[in-house]
Amino acid sequence: MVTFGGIDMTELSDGELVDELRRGEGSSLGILFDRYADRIYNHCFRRTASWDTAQDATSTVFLEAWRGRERVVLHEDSALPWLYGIATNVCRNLTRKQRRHLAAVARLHGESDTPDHAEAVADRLDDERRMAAVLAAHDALPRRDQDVLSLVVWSGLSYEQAAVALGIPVGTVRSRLSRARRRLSAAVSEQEFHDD
Amino acid sequence: MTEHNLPPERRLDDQSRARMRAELTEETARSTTPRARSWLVPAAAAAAVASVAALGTVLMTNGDDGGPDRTEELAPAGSGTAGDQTQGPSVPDPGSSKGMTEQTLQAAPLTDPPATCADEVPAYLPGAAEAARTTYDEGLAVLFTKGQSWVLCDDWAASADGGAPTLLGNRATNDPAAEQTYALSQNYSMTNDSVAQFVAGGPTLPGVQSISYTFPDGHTQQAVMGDDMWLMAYVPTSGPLVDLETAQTEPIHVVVTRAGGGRASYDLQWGQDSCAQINHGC
Repeated sequence: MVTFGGIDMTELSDGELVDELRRGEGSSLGILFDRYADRIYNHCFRRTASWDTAQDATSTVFLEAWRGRERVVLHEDSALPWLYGIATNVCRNLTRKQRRHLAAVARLHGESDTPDHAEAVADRLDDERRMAAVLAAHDALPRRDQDVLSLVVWSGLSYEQAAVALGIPVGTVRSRLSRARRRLSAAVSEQEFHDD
Repeated sequence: MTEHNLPPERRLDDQSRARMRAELTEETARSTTPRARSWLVPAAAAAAVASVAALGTVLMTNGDDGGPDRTEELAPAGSGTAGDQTQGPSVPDPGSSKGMTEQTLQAAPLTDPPATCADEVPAYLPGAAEAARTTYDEGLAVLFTKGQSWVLCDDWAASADGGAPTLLGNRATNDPAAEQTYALSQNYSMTNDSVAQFVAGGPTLPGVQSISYTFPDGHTQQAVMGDDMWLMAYVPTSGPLVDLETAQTEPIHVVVTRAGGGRASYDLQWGQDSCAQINHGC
Protein backbone atom coordinates (compact mmCIF):
# COMPACT_ATOMS: atom_id res chain seq x y z
CA MET A 1 0.00 0.00 0.00
CA VAL A 2 1.32 3.44 -0.86
CA THR A 3 0.19 5.97 1.66
CA PHE A 4 0.44 9.71 1.79
CA GLY A 5 -0.83 11.60 4.76
CA GLY A 6 -2.55 8.43 5.94
CA ILE A 7 -4.38 7.97 2.64
CA ASP A 8 -3.97 4.83 0.57
CA MET A 9 -2.99 6.41 -2.71
CA THR A 10 -3.98 3.43 -4.78
CA GLU A 11 -7.57 4.20 -3.89
CA LEU A 12 -7.43 7.80 -5.01
CA SER A 13 -9.27 8.84 -8.12
CA ASP A 14 -7.32 10.12 -11.10
CA GLY A 15 -8.36 13.64 -10.21
CA GLU A 16 -6.98 13.29 -6.75
CA LEU A 17 -3.77 11.76 -8.05
CA VAL A 18 -3.41 14.54 -10.58
CA ASP A 19 -3.88 17.04 -7.81
CA GLU A 20 -0.95 15.45 -6.02
CA LEU A 21 0.99 15.23 -9.26
CA ARG A 22 0.66 18.94 -9.79
CA ARG A 23 2.06 19.43 -6.35
CA GLY A 24 5.16 17.52 -7.33
CA GLU A 25 4.21 14.27 -5.64
CA GLY A 26 6.01 11.68 -7.73
CA SER A 27 4.38 8.66 -6.12
CA SER A 28 1.05 9.68 -7.64
CA LEU A 29 2.62 9.23 -11.07
CA GLY A 30 3.63 5.74 -10.01
CA ILE A 31 0.00 4.94 -9.25
CA LEU A 32 -1.09 6.30 -12.60
CA PHE A 33 1.61 4.15 -14.17
CA ASP A 34 0.30 1.07 -12.40
CA ARG A 35 -3.19 1.95 -13.55
CA TYR A 36 -2.55 2.76 -17.20
CA ALA A 37 0.85 1.49 -18.32
CA ASP A 38 -0.65 -1.53 -20.06
CA ARG A 39 -3.15 0.61 -21.93
CA ILE A 40 -0.47 3.00 -23.11
CA TYR A 41 1.86 0.11 -23.92
CA ASN A 42 -0.68 -1.50 -26.21
CA HIS A 43 -1.61 1.81 -27.82
CA CYS A 44 2.04 2.49 -28.55
CA PHE A 45 2.41 -0.98 -29.99
CA ARG A 46 -0.46 -0.32 -32.33
CA ARG A 47 1.25 2.86 -33.50
CA THR A 48 4.71 1.37 -33.92
CA ALA A 49 4.24 -2.37 -34.54
CA SER A 50 7.06 -3.07 -32.13
CA TRP A 51 6.70 -4.32 -28.59
CA ASP A 52 10.18 -3.11 -27.71
CA THR A 53 9.55 0.33 -29.15
CA ALA A 54 6.20 0.43 -27.39
CA GLN A 55 7.94 -0.27 -24.12
CA ASP A 56 10.38 2.58 -24.66
CA ALA A 57 7.53 4.80 -25.69
CA THR A 58 5.51 3.93 -22.60
CA SER A 59 8.40 4.96 -20.38
CA THR A 60 8.73 8.18 -22.30
CA VAL A 61 5.00 8.88 -22.04
CA PHE A 62 5.06 8.78 -18.27
CA LEU A 63 8.26 10.79 -18.08
CA GLU A 64 6.64 13.39 -20.34
CA ALA A 65 3.56 13.26 -18.14
CA TRP A 66 5.74 14.16 -15.19
CA ARG A 67 7.38 17.01 -17.05
CA GLY A 68 4.02 18.32 -18.20
CA ARG A 69 2.20 17.68 -14.96
CA GLU A 70 1.18 21.30 -14.51
CA ARG A 71 -0.84 21.14 -17.71
CA VAL A 72 -2.86 18.02 -17.08
CA VAL A 73 -6.33 17.97 -18.57
CA LEU A 74 -8.77 15.60 -16.91
CA HIS A 75 -11.77 14.24 -18.71
CA GLU A 76 -14.57 13.07 -16.45
CA ASP A 77 -12.00 12.61 -13.70
CA SER A 78 -9.83 10.40 -15.88
CA ALA A 79 -6.22 11.16 -16.79
CA LEU A 80 -6.22 8.47 -19.45
CA PRO A 81 -7.14 10.68 -22.45
CA TRP A 82 -4.35 13.06 -21.50
CA LEU A 83 -1.91 10.16 -21.36
CA TYR A 84 -3.13 8.94 -24.73
CA GLY A 85 -2.50 12.41 -26.11
CA ILE A 86 1.07 12.33 -24.88
CA ALA A 87 1.45 8.82 -26.26
CA THR A 88 0.25 9.97 -29.67
CA ASN A 89 2.96 12.60 -29.80
CA VAL A 90 5.62 10.35 -28.37
CA CYS A 91 4.92 7.54 -30.79
CA ARG A 92 4.96 9.96 -33.67
CA ASN A 93 8.41 11.08 -32.66
CA LEU A 94 9.62 7.51 -32.57
CA THR A 95 9.00 7.07 -36.24
CA ARG A 96 12.65 6.93 -37.20
CA LYS A 97 13.17 4.01 -34.90
CA GLN A 98 9.89 2.56 -36.04
CA ARG A 99 10.88 2.85 -39.66
CA ARG A 100 14.05 0.87 -39.05
CA HIS A 101 12.10 -1.66 -37.08
CA LEU A 102 9.42 -2.04 -39.71
CA ALA A 103 12.11 -2.64 -42.29
CA ALA A 104 13.55 -5.35 -40.09
CA VAL A 105 10.13 -6.90 -39.57
CA ALA A 106 9.51 -6.83 -43.29
CA ARG A 107 12.75 -8.71 -43.84
CA LEU A 108 11.62 -11.31 -41.33
CA HIS A 109 8.35 -11.73 -43.16
CA GLY A 110 8.36 -15.04 -44.92
CA GLU A 111 11.04 -16.59 -42.80
CA SER A 112 9.37 -19.75 -41.61
CA ASP A 113 12.08 -21.33 -39.45
CA THR A 114 11.20 -19.85 -36.12
CA PRO A 115 12.99 -21.76 -33.37
CA ASP A 116 10.67 -24.04 -31.44
CA HIS A 117 12.19 -23.03 -28.15
CA ALA A 118 11.18 -19.41 -28.61
CA GLU A 119 7.43 -19.71 -28.91
CA ALA A 120 6.80 -16.56 -26.94
CA VAL A 121 9.24 -14.61 -29.05
CA ALA A 122 7.65 -16.00 -32.17
CA ASP A 123 4.23 -14.91 -30.95
CA ARG A 124 5.48 -11.40 -30.42
CA LEU A 125 7.11 -11.34 -33.81
CA ASP A 126 3.90 -12.57 -35.32
CA ASP A 127 2.05 -9.74 -33.59
CA GLU A 128 4.53 -7.31 -35.00
CA ARG A 129 4.19 -8.63 -38.53
CA ARG A 130 0.43 -8.40 -38.31
CA MET A 131 0.54 -4.93 -36.89
CA ALA A 132 3.07 -3.76 -39.46
CA ALA A 133 0.71 -4.97 -42.17
CA VAL A 134 -2.18 -3.08 -40.59
CA LEU A 135 -0.11 0.08 -40.35
CA ALA A 136 1.00 -0.27 -43.94
CA ALA A 137 -2.65 -0.39 -44.97
CA HIS A 138 -3.21 2.85 -43.06
CA ASP A 139 -0.27 4.69 -44.54
CA ALA A 140 -2.45 6.36 -47.11
CA LEU A 141 -4.39 8.13 -44.39
CA PRO A 142 -3.30 11.56 -43.26
CA ARG A 143 -1.50 11.30 -39.97
CA ARG A 144 -4.19 13.18 -38.07
CA ASP A 145 -6.80 10.73 -39.33
CA GLN A 146 -4.59 7.86 -38.25
CA ASP A 147 -4.37 9.42 -34.80
CA VAL A 148 -8.14 9.53 -34.46
CA LEU A 149 -8.62 6.04 -35.83
CA SER A 150 -6.06 4.52 -33.52
CA LEU A 151 -7.49 6.23 -30.46
CA VAL A 152 -11.16 5.59 -31.09
CA VAL A 153 -11.24 2.31 -32.98
CA TRP A 154 -8.11 0.58 -31.79
CA SER A 155 -7.76 1.87 -28.25
CA GLY A 156 -11.42 2.28 -27.47
CA LEU A 157 -11.61 5.93 -26.53
CA SER A 158 -14.89 7.77 -26.86
CA TYR A 159 -15.08 10.67 -29.25
CA GLU A 160 -14.95 13.04 -26.32
CA GLN A 161 -11.87 11.34 -24.87
CA ALA A 162 -10.13 11.39 -28.23
CA ALA A 163 -10.92 15.09 -28.55
CA VAL A 164 -9.25 15.73 -25.22
CA ALA A 165 -6.29 13.55 -26.15
CA LEU A 166 -5.68 15.37 -29.41
CA GLY A 167 -6.74 18.81 -28.33
CA ILE A 168 -9.34 19.12 -31.07
CA PRO A 169 -13.12 19.59 -31.09
CA VAL A 170 -15.35 16.52 -30.84
CA GLY A 171 -16.84 17.34 -34.22
CA THR A 172 -13.41 17.16 -35.77
CA VAL A 173 -12.89 13.73 -34.24
CA ARG A 174 -16.13 12.55 -35.80
CA SER A 175 -15.36 13.97 -39.22
CA ARG A 176 -11.81 12.64 -39.27
CA LEU A 177 -12.94 9.20 -38.20
CA SER A 178 -15.70 9.13 -40.76
CA ARG A 179 -13.29 10.17 -43.47
CA ALA A 180 -10.71 7.61 -42.37
CA ARG A 181 -13.27 4.82 -42.48
CA ARG A 182 -14.42 5.81 -45.93
CA ARG A 183 -10.89 5.79 -47.20
CA LEU A 184 -10.09 2.51 -45.51
CA SER A 185 -13.20 0.92 -46.88
CA ALA A 186 -12.26 2.00 -50.37
CA ALA A 187 -8.71 0.77 -49.91
CA VAL A 188 -9.88 -2.60 -48.61
CA SER A 189 -12.29 -3.02 -51.52
CA GLU A 190 -9.53 -2.23 -53.95
CA GLN A 191 -7.14 -4.64 -52.25
CA GLU A 192 -9.74 -7.41 -52.26
CA PHE A 193 -10.37 -6.75 -55.93
CA HIS A 194 -6.67 -7.17 -56.69
CA ASP A 195 -6.39 -10.23 -54.43
CA ASP A 196 -9.21 -11.87 -56.31
CA MET B 1 -7.07 -6.21 -44.19
CA THR B 2 -9.55 -4.42 -41.96
CA GLU B 3 -9.23 -1.99 -39.11
CA HIS B 4 -10.15 -4.80 -36.68
CA ASN B 5 -7.50 -7.27 -37.64
CA LEU B 6 -5.26 -6.40 -34.73
CA PRO B 7 -2.99 -8.58 -32.67
CA PRO B 8 -4.25 -9.25 -29.14
CA GLU B 9 -3.19 -6.96 -26.33
CA ARG B 10 -0.41 -7.95 -23.95
CA ARG B 11 0.66 -6.89 -20.53
CA LEU B 12 4.05 -5.51 -19.70
CA ASP B 13 6.10 -8.27 -18.18
CA ASP B 14 6.91 -7.87 -14.51
CA GLN B 15 10.60 -7.26 -15.03
CA SER B 16 10.07 -4.50 -17.55
CA ARG B 17 7.32 -2.98 -15.47
CA ALA B 18 9.61 -2.84 -12.44
CA ARG B 19 12.44 -1.32 -14.45
CA MET B 20 10.21 1.32 -15.98
CA ARG B 21 8.71 2.21 -12.64
CA ALA B 22 12.16 2.49 -11.11
CA GLU B 23 13.11 4.93 -13.86
CA LEU B 24 10.02 6.96 -13.11
CA THR B 25 10.76 7.00 -9.42
CA GLU B 26 14.30 8.13 -10.10
CA GLU B 27 13.18 10.86 -12.47
CA THR B 28 10.50 12.23 -10.20
CA ALA B 29 12.80 12.19 -7.20
CA ARG B 30 15.52 14.01 -9.12
CA SER B 31 13.37 16.71 -10.63
CA THR B 32 11.11 17.54 -7.73
CA THR B 33 12.01 21.08 -6.83
CA PRO B 34 12.68 22.09 -3.23
CA ARG B 35 10.37 25.06 -3.80
CA ALA B 36 7.45 22.83 -4.67
CA ARG B 37 7.92 20.68 -1.65
CA SER B 38 8.47 23.63 0.68
CA TRP B 39 5.02 25.08 0.22
CA LEU B 40 3.05 22.02 -0.65
CA VAL B 41 4.25 19.41 1.70
CA PRO B 42 4.02 20.07 5.40
CA ALA B 43 6.68 18.70 7.65
CA ALA B 44 4.55 15.84 8.84
CA ALA B 45 3.75 14.80 5.33
CA ALA B 46 7.37 15.05 4.29
CA ALA B 47 8.09 12.03 6.41
CA ALA B 48 5.35 10.21 4.58
CA VAL B 49 6.92 11.20 1.27
CA ALA B 50 10.16 9.63 2.36
CA SER B 51 8.36 6.45 3.26
CA VAL B 52 6.57 6.50 -0.10
CA ALA B 53 9.92 6.69 -1.83
CA ALA B 54 11.12 3.71 0.15
CA LEU B 55 7.94 1.82 -0.54
CA GLY B 56 8.34 2.57 -4.19
CA THR B 57 10.90 -0.16 -4.49
CA VAL B 58 8.58 -2.61 -2.82
CA LEU B 59 5.75 -1.63 -5.09
CA MET B 60 7.99 -2.02 -8.10
CA THR B 61 8.28 -5.67 -7.47
CA ASN B 62 4.78 -6.20 -6.20
CA GLY B 63 2.84 -3.80 -8.38
CA ASP B 64 1.50 -6.59 -10.53
CA ASP B 65 0.69 -9.10 -7.87
CA GLY B 66 -0.95 -12.12 -9.27
CA GLY B 67 -0.84 -10.64 -12.72
CA PRO B 68 -0.37 -12.71 -15.80
CA ASP B 69 3.01 -13.36 -17.23
CA ARG B 70 4.43 -11.60 -20.26
CA THR B 71 2.68 -13.77 -22.74
CA GLU B 72 -0.82 -13.36 -21.40
CA GLU B 73 -3.11 -11.76 -23.93
CA LEU B 74 -5.88 -9.33 -23.33
CA ALA B 75 -8.88 -8.73 -25.50
CA PRO B 76 -8.33 -5.96 -28.03
CA ALA B 77 -9.66 -2.76 -26.54
CA GLY B 78 -11.43 -1.74 -29.66
CA SER B 79 -13.07 -5.03 -30.46
CA GLY B 80 -16.70 -4.89 -31.36
CA THR B 81 -16.94 -1.15 -31.11
CA ALA B 82 -15.94 0.18 -34.45
CA GLY B 83 -19.27 -0.43 -36.04
CA ASP B 84 -20.85 2.17 -33.86
CA GLN B 85 -20.73 5.26 -35.96
CA THR B 86 -22.52 7.52 -33.60
CA GLN B 87 -21.17 6.75 -30.21
CA GLY B 88 -17.57 5.93 -29.49
CA PRO B 89 -16.79 3.03 -27.19
CA SER B 90 -16.38 3.93 -23.59
CA VAL B 91 -13.37 3.32 -21.44
CA PRO B 92 -13.99 1.60 -18.13
CA ASP B 93 -13.43 3.89 -15.20
CA PRO B 94 -10.25 2.54 -13.68
CA GLY B 95 -11.08 4.09 -10.36
CA SER B 96 -14.22 2.07 -10.00
CA SER B 97 -12.33 -1.18 -10.25
CA LYS B 98 -10.04 -0.22 -7.42
CA GLY B 99 -12.69 -0.44 -4.77
CA MET B 100 -12.87 3.26 -4.14
CA THR B 101 -13.54 4.32 -0.63
CA GLU B 102 -14.90 7.65 0.49
CA GLN B 103 -13.02 10.34 -1.32
CA THR B 104 -11.26 12.78 0.91
CA LEU B 105 -9.76 15.10 -1.68
CA GLN B 106 -11.39 17.27 -4.30
CA ALA B 107 -10.82 16.26 -7.90
CA ALA B 108 -8.56 18.61 -9.77
CA PRO B 109 -10.39 21.00 -12.05
CA LEU B 110 -9.91 21.07 -15.78
CA THR B 111 -7.14 23.38 -16.84
CA ASP B 112 -7.51 25.85 -19.63
CA PRO B 113 -5.21 25.24 -22.56
CA PRO B 114 -2.21 27.54 -22.52
CA ALA B 115 -2.55 30.32 -25.01
CA THR B 116 0.77 32.10 -24.90
CA CYS B 117 4.39 31.18 -25.26
CA ALA B 118 4.96 32.47 -21.76
CA ASP B 119 2.49 29.86 -20.51
CA GLU B 120 3.78 27.03 -22.61
CA VAL B 121 7.57 27.29 -22.72
CA PRO B 122 8.34 26.90 -19.01
CA ALA B 123 6.78 23.43 -19.00
CA TYR B 124 9.33 22.29 -21.55
CA LEU B 125 12.39 24.43 -20.80
CA PRO B 126 12.05 25.90 -17.34
CA GLY B 127 13.95 29.11 -16.83
CA ALA B 128 14.39 29.75 -20.54
CA ALA B 129 14.71 33.34 -21.72
CA GLU B 130 13.89 34.94 -25.03
CA ALA B 131 16.90 35.00 -27.30
CA ALA B 132 15.43 36.15 -30.59
CA ARG B 133 12.15 36.65 -32.39
CA THR B 134 10.92 36.70 -35.95
CA THR B 135 7.61 38.10 -37.07
CA TYR B 136 5.84 37.14 -40.24
CA ASP B 137 2.56 38.16 -41.78
CA GLU B 138 0.45 35.68 -39.87
CA GLY B 139 2.31 35.27 -36.61
CA LEU B 140 5.32 35.53 -34.38
CA ALA B 141 7.99 33.00 -33.48
CA VAL B 142 10.22 33.42 -30.48
CA LEU B 143 13.39 31.50 -29.73
CA PHE B 144 13.91 30.71 -26.08
CA THR B 145 17.18 29.37 -24.76
CA LYS B 146 18.58 28.23 -21.49
CA GLY B 147 22.20 27.21 -21.42
CA GLN B 148 22.75 24.96 -24.37
CA SER B 149 19.08 24.11 -24.88
CA TRP B 150 16.49 25.84 -26.99
CA VAL B 151 12.78 25.89 -27.71
CA LEU B 152 11.08 27.73 -30.53
CA CYS B 153 7.57 28.95 -29.81
CA ASP B 154 5.28 29.96 -32.65
CA ASP B 155 2.04 31.73 -31.78
CA TRP B 156 0.13 31.32 -35.05
CA ALA B 157 -2.40 28.84 -33.70
CA ALA B 158 -2.84 30.80 -30.50
CA SER B 159 -3.38 34.06 -32.32
CA ALA B 160 -5.49 32.52 -35.09
CA ASP B 161 -8.07 30.68 -33.06
CA GLY B 162 -6.99 30.48 -29.47
CA GLY B 163 -5.26 27.12 -29.76
CA ALA B 164 -1.99 26.25 -28.13
CA PRO B 165 1.14 27.84 -29.52
CA THR B 166 3.49 25.45 -31.26
CA LEU B 167 6.74 24.46 -29.66
CA LEU B 168 9.63 23.01 -31.59
CA GLY B 169 13.02 21.89 -30.47
CA ASN B 170 13.90 21.29 -26.84
CA ARG B 171 17.25 20.26 -28.22
CA ALA B 172 20.84 21.30 -27.71
CA THR B 173 21.97 24.40 -29.55
CA ASN B 174 25.06 22.58 -30.73
CA ASP B 175 23.28 19.56 -32.16
CA PRO B 176 24.80 18.75 -35.53
CA ALA B 177 22.50 19.66 -38.40
CA ALA B 178 20.64 16.71 -39.84
CA GLU B 179 17.36 16.02 -41.57
CA GLN B 180 15.45 16.35 -38.32
CA THR B 181 16.86 19.86 -37.90
CA TYR B 182 14.49 20.90 -40.66
CA ALA B 183 11.45 18.91 -39.57
CA LEU B 184 8.37 21.07 -39.38
CA SER B 185 5.06 21.33 -37.65
CA GLN B 186 1.80 21.30 -39.57
CA ASN B 187 -1.10 23.04 -37.93
CA TYR B 188 -4.67 23.46 -39.00
CA SER B 189 -7.07 26.14 -37.98
CA MET B 190 -9.74 24.93 -35.59
CA THR B 191 -12.17 27.44 -36.96
CA ASN B 192 -11.33 27.58 -40.65
CA ASP B 193 -10.78 24.37 -42.57
CA SER B 194 -9.15 26.20 -45.43
CA VAL B 195 -6.21 27.53 -43.48
CA ALA B 196 -3.10 25.64 -42.46
CA GLN B 197 0.33 26.56 -41.23
CA PHE B 198 3.70 24.92 -41.67
CA VAL B 199 6.51 26.12 -39.47
CA ALA B 200 10.10 25.14 -38.80
CA GLY B 201 13.00 26.95 -37.22
CA GLY B 202 15.62 27.10 -34.56
CA PRO B 203 18.85 28.81 -33.62
CA THR B 204 21.12 30.01 -36.37
CA LEU B 205 22.92 27.17 -38.11
CA PRO B 206 26.63 27.91 -38.52
CA GLY B 207 27.64 28.30 -42.13
CA VAL B 208 24.12 28.01 -43.51
CA GLN B 209 23.18 30.79 -45.87
CA SER B 210 19.68 29.83 -46.92
CA ILE B 211 17.02 27.18 -46.42
CA SER B 212 14.15 26.64 -48.78
CA TYR B 213 11.09 24.42 -48.46
CA THR B 214 9.21 23.33 -51.55
CA PHE B 215 5.78 21.92 -50.78
CA PRO B 216 3.68 19.52 -52.85
CA ASP B 217 1.46 22.40 -53.92
CA GLY B 218 4.46 23.85 -55.75
CA HIS B 219 5.06 26.70 -53.36
CA THR B 220 8.64 27.35 -52.26
CA GLN B 221 9.08 29.14 -48.98
CA GLN B 222 12.44 30.63 -48.11
CA ALA B 223 13.37 30.62 -44.47
CA VAL B 224 14.12 33.95 -42.84
CA MET B 225 17.74 33.80 -41.73
CA GLY B 226 18.27 36.09 -38.74
CA ASP B 227 21.33 36.79 -36.67
CA ASP B 228 20.28 34.39 -33.94
CA MET B 229 17.51 32.27 -35.39
CA TRP B 230 16.01 31.01 -38.62
CA LEU B 231 12.35 30.53 -39.37
CA MET B 232 10.25 29.07 -42.14
CA ALA B 233 6.53 29.74 -41.95
CA TYR B 234 4.06 29.01 -44.72
CA VAL B 235 0.34 29.60 -44.33
CA PRO B 236 -1.56 28.30 -47.36
CA THR B 237 -5.22 29.19 -47.66
CA SER B 238 -6.08 27.04 -50.65
CA GLY B 239 -4.85 24.06 -52.59
CA PRO B 240 -4.11 20.47 -51.67
CA LEU B 241 -2.34 21.28 -48.43
CA VAL B 242 -5.50 22.56 -46.85
CA ASP B 243 -7.86 20.11 -48.53
CA LEU B 244 -8.88 17.67 -45.83
CA GLU B 245 -9.77 15.10 -48.44
CA THR B 246 -6.25 15.02 -49.86
CA ALA B 247 -3.75 12.64 -48.30
CA GLN B 248 -0.28 14.02 -48.74
CA THR B 249 2.11 11.60 -50.35
CA GLU B 250 4.71 13.78 -52.05
CA PRO B 251 7.53 14.83 -49.72
CA ILE B 252 8.47 18.36 -48.77
CA HIS B 253 11.77 19.14 -50.43
CA VAL B 254 14.28 21.09 -48.38
CA VAL B 255 17.42 22.63 -49.83
CA VAL B 256 20.08 23.96 -47.50
CA THR B 257 22.71 26.19 -49.05
CA ARG B 258 25.93 26.85 -47.24
CA ALA B 259 27.91 30.08 -47.42
CA GLY B 260 30.60 28.33 -49.44
CA GLY B 261 28.07 27.25 -52.02
CA GLY B 262 27.66 23.68 -50.88
CA ARG B 263 24.16 22.28 -50.84
CA ALA B 264 22.31 19.59 -48.99
CA SER B 265 18.79 18.49 -49.69
CA TYR B 266 16.26 16.50 -47.76
CA ASP B 267 12.87 15.05 -48.53
CA LEU B 268 10.67 15.42 -45.49
CA GLN B 269 8.00 12.78 -45.22
CA TRP B 270 4.50 13.60 -44.08
CA GLY B 271 3.87 12.42 -40.58
CA GLN B 272 7.31 11.45 -39.53
CA ASP B 273 8.89 14.79 -40.45
CA SER B 274 5.89 17.07 -40.39
CA CYS B 275 4.79 16.67 -36.82
CA ALA B 276 7.87 17.98 -35.07
CA GLN B 277 6.00 19.93 -32.44
CA ILE B 278 6.60 18.77 -28.92
CA ASN B 279 3.56 20.09 -27.14
CA HIS B 280 0.42 19.12 -28.99
CA GLY B 281 -1.08 16.74 -31.50
CA CYS B 282 -0.66 16.93 -35.21
